[in-house]
Amino acid sequence: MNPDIRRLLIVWAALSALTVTTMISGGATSPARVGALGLAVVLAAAVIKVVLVLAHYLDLRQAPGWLSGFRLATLVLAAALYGLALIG
Amino acid sequence: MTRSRTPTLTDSTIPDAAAPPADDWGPFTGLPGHPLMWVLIGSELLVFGAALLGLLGGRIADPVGFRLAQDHLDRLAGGVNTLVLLTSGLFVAIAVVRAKAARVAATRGWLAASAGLGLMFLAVKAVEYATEIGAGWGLDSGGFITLYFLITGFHALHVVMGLIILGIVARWPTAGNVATGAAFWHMVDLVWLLVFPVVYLVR
Amino acid sequence: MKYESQSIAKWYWFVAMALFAVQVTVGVLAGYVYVAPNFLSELLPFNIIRMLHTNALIVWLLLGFFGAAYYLIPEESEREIYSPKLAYLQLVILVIGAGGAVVGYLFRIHEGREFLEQPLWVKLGIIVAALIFLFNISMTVLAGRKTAITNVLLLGLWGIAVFFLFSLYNPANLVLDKMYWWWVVHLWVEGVWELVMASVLAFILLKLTGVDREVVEKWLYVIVATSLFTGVLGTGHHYYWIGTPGYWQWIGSIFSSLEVIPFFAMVVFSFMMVWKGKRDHPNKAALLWSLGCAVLAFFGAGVWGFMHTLHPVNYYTHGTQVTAAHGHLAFFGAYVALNLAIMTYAFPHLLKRSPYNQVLNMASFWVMTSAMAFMTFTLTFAGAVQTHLQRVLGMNFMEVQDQLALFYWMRLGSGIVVVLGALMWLYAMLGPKAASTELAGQAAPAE
Repeated sequence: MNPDIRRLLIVWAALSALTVTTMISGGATSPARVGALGLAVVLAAAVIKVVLVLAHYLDLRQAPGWLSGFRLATLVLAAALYGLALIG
Repeated sequence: MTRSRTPTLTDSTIPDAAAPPADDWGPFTGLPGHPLMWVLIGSELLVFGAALLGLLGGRIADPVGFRLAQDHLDRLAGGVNTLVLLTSGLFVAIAVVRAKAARVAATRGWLAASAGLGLMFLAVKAVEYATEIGAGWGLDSGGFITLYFLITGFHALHVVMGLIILGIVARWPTAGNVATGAAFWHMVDLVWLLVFPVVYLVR
Repeated sequence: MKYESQSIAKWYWFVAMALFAVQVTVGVLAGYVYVAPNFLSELLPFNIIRMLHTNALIVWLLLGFFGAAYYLIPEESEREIYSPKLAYLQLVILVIGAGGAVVGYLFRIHEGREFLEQPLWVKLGIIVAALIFLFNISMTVLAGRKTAITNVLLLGLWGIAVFFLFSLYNPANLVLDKMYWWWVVHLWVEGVWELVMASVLAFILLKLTGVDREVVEKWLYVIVATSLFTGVLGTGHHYYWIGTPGYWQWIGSIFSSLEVIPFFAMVVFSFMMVWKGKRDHPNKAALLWSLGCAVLAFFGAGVWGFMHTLHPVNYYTHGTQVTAAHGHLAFFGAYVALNLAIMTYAFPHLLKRSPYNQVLNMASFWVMTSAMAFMTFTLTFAGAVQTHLQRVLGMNFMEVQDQLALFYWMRLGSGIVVVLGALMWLYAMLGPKAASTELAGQAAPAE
């Protein structure tokens, strides 16, 4: 198999697994409240997914400076979102 | 570079210096796809980031109202749509690999598969909207509902735009075009990865 | 100056300069009415004075843009203007319209819609002039070399004309009236005018710094993309409290807070070009105005705009002196400075001289800029006090105005200094050439 496609498939599997994790810890099938820990898992999974999409789908592996910039921005955004979510 | 003094008025007659190659975009060089697409991607991420911050900020003022409205969302549908978009993103990424190898038929096939999943995303979203609008929700309902429609609606418009772009690059499937179209599609995908947890799950 | 028809610009700019003088003088008059409210109240009431101040500003800026187009398009397109006769006809129509509007205002003849007070016949005259203008420059550009600068300039100028058409549409419903009113006002100054600004700035920097055209063009595309992306939906920040649906509060807040991006890009762009520049151009004053334009636009339009653009903030500050502070520095930084930059650059060419009276010109930059900055700070403080007393504590409007008297006196003082700066600049441009004030080493003889 083409190594690029093999890599993309692995990334897709990871993304899907993380999405299922998000749905479980974020309670996608139950109306129960999501605790601080559950929220942390949900947002951490989102950040990892965003970085995977940036690095592999968008191929920013080729531009490491941009990748770290976007990663930092995503982390800052997720941290701010987490803070606001805990206050609310 | 050398500074030469030219105290003359005929600067309009000085020819432009030797031009750099047309594909030299300074710091943007090396990004996959057209650099202006990346200007757009950056702008979109700022818009959606600000909107999500606005949503959670607004929630502080009215936690109960937000919670009551959010509980009416179909969280499972949102999760399924995440998987749909991620798979669509995979297909478009494969299309880029095929386009680089100049395999036009395969490129078009993967682009079509990707667009098909994009349509499925829109179908799921349409079912969600139909239920919600049927329950009396509208863009002007205020609070959480307004923000929900604004954020997901603006995102859905981008999916539609992405489908059009995928169609255009499928018509002219050079490696550069496909990479540019794919970059837009992945941005739409990436935005949803943040929209889904924040809009549907945070409570 | 390579092309004869570039001298059309000179006549547009002469009229613009005259209106500039009128605009700042009437501004001082308005500033005086703030501290002596009954001054001229019978002869020339405040609403008329304000009308003259704002209308003169907009018309002279537009005449400046037209002049800039007639000056730079021949050089960019590498050919003469399609029809100089039409260009002069256009100027005559505009002068008659502007003069008619001013005389009409003095006799209280106006349509009363803020900034669009011009009587219908003047509006129609403006449209005819705009059509002549667009025809003339489009024919020139189409026949000649196409560059990013002319493309963006044309897009901006066509946009100006198209959005002006909404001045004719005045629905009876006050909400709709205001909604479309902003399609002229906002989509001009925070939309298509920015395209004109970016392309004229790009032209000046290209000439002054000698940076590769390819680099300038890429910056131009980025600036245009971000200003349209943020500016169009940014219109929403005017729709918060006028009766439009509530979702505009979010659309307006989010997009308009990003409107600072193109202005920031213009700052980075202009300093990068100067830094990378290979050419040491003798016209230092034009360079000062260009860099000043980018920086002052960033603060006036970008930072001061952002200050009160988020709807929770604007709920308190709406229509206070904070708006006046923003309006003054934004117009001065973005569009006044731009016009003074292109005129400072082009006049030596038009008069076939080497750059002249540069020391006086640069001094006028610092005088005007300092005074405008002081005015902006004064009005910002006044706005903050006003917001607190009036909107938070709920004091009566006129009571609050009395509390602001000190700020209004300081604003009047800074306004007088602006007029002095403007007169210095006008003298530097139009007065006799003073050889003794030239910068050392700049005395190259005219060719």
